[in-house]
Amino acid sequence: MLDSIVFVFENMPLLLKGALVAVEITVLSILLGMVVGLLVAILRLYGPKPIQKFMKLYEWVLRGLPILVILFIIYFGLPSVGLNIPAFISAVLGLGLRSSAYQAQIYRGAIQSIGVEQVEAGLSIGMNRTKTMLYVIVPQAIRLSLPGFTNEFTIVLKDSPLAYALGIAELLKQGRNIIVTSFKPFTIYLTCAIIYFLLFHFFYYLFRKIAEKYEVPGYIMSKKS
Amino acid sequence: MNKTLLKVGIVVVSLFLVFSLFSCGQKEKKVLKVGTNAEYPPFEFKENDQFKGIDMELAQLIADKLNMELKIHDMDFDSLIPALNANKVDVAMAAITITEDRKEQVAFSIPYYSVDQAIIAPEGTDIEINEEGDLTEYTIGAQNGTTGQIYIDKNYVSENKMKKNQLKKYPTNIEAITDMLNGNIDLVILDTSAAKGYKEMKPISTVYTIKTGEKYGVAMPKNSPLKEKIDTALKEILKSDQWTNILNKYIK
Repeated sequence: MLDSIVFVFENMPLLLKGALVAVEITVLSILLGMVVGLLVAILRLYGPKPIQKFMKLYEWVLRGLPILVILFIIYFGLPSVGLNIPAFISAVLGLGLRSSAYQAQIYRGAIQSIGVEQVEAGLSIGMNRTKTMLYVIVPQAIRLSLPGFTNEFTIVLKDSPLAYALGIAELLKQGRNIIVTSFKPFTIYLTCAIIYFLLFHFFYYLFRKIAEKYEVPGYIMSKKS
Repeated sequence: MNKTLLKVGIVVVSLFLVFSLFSCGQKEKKVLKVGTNAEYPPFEFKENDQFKGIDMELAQLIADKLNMELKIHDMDFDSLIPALNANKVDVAMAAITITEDRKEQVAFSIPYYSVDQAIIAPEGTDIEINEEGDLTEYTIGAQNGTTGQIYIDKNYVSENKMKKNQLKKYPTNIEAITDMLNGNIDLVILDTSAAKGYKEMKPISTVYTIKTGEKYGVAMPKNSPLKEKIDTALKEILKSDQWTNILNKYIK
């Protein structure tokens, strides 16, 4: 038992280095997913008809593919059409675009949940449509989408080990490298699990605090849930 | 005031992120990108975040001879040949056996090491393999894509001498050996050189050796401009004391 604890601490720097890579991949993917997702959500709601249809298709296809397949297509498939993307960027693109499909749904749901009356109210006091969107709808929508966003963030975090398949030295891969020379799968996988869980816990708590701070008063009651 | 700060902050952060993405893609001149699967001691593994093993030291020697900078890309063994064909790496060195099937997809250097297939069992086992045919009575594990797995598949499973579920495939030998020691399978087939390495770590013993006389080679894309240079470098290295020293260091 004591041996195992000493062993884990000896290897901790490597595992933490891997954990940092996992967080990097997650944060970059989520940001990419956020930018693309917001765009998709807005275009799907307010874009011209053909674009709306296309955005629906985009969400539908990306939601229907296993993430590993997406990653392999980007990393191993695209070079045959002349697009050779490094592993780290491939992982961020794959996880980010997949997340954008889910985030688009979160944002669309949030925008739609704000009543038409508010748009009418905005227009009635002389704001145009863009201004109404920008100053009335979007600020509320962002706050409403925080709980869903938190969930999506933790999902991407937990999918980040798949980057291992592209040879990226994130937490799980570092763990496996240690197992190869030490042959202690249980100790190392358990340590990886604990680190992933602590990361999950940290980010979940952080976003929950933010969500509570910025909740729309009288709209949702996250504190009691 | 606050809003302006926020806007500036957002611009700075997004610029930083964009540039950090670009910097990942920067390429330096004259880099020899070597793909490997660092989960295969004593040929390739990682210790304290450093690549070690026979193949890794050989890669360094080849890079020195070619006057190139060595960069190692660690990936799944299954992914090595796709990575070569997708030009992700220049060569692959991962105890790769030269086979006819693989030659259809990639080119190989001259051979640099020769092995057979070892059948291992937990130490103190009562399993006795007197001839190869005895294997059909047991369940065997193997690392997916290795010559051991292909050998059993071709000669036993495809010939209906073994049932499909008698051959279990794992991502690496580690899982295969762990599963065997946990009692889920009877035997594991792997290269003799790797079996030697694992014997120092785990209570296993070799119960049978299949003389396949396989040869390891450096894999590269077909028509690779490096083929001749690497062959020349290898010929020099294989004759040198450095090579003997490397072998003695990792295989006793």
